[in-house]
Amino acid sequence: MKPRTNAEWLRALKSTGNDQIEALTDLRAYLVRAATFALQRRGGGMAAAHLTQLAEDCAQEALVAVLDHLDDFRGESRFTTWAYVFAINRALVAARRERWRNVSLEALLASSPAVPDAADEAPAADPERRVMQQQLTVTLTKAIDECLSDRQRQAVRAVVLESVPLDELVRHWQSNRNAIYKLLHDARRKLRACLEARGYSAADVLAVLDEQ
Amino acid sequence: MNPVRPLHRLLRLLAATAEEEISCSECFELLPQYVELELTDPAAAATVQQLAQHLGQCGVCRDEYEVLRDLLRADAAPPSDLT
Repeated sequence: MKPRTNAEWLRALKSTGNDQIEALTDLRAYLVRAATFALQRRGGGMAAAHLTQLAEDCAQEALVAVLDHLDDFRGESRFTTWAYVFAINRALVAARRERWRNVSLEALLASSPAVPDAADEAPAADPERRVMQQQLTVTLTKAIDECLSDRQRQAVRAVVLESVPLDELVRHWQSNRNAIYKLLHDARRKLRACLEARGYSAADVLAVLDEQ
Repeated sequence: MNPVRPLHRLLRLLAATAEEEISCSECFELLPQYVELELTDPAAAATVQQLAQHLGQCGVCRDEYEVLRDLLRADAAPPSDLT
């Protein structure tokens, strides 16, 4: 591949003719490399032929996105680093989609899983501390039930307690990352305030869990 | 973070919650220069507090950060080390 400065990348991609075709071919190769790398690390051991095909598909999607956003590139990194992020994003979203394809989020969100008992997660040897852990679990469960909206409660339970990838919730709710992240951020702030109102600072809580 | 201890995870997230946090889109925009900076000048990268804070809260953005960081490291390695 021909080495290019950021300015040369932009000039070639915005030009016509052979320069543009050459730049597009090179850019696509970079994006395939990034998508392949991402799927090799986060693809959960998918078959080689499938990985190759998925990487090609993700690179193609990323190429379209990069070309759509060329004017957003501010030159604060190498152009190829900036472009890599698009391919990595598409590949990781696809890998998560495959991993969670057979999980019903509808059922998971409806099931309202219980908050795990702190004393079960990290049982303290000291009986007094075990009681504190159990009280903490009750307090946190109440805070989740009483301080959060239904939507916030579902998001916290799914993403934080059940490890559902945020992207999967985005897909299920037909939303976007920013909106779900904001929902979770608001929920965290509310929960923290609720715990503080009940006499637990976050640092205190961690100390109860971690100090054995 | 230990995936088998969800309550710990929640409490750690609460402890690290900031009043103002950047969005996933802002993280996406800042990530390329952040990772390049981290690989060349880790001390300077550590000053980008808001991005680091977001990566601590957002699993999907953190995954993207880790893969990009590892990819740039692989790009910088001798050809025989590329996988």
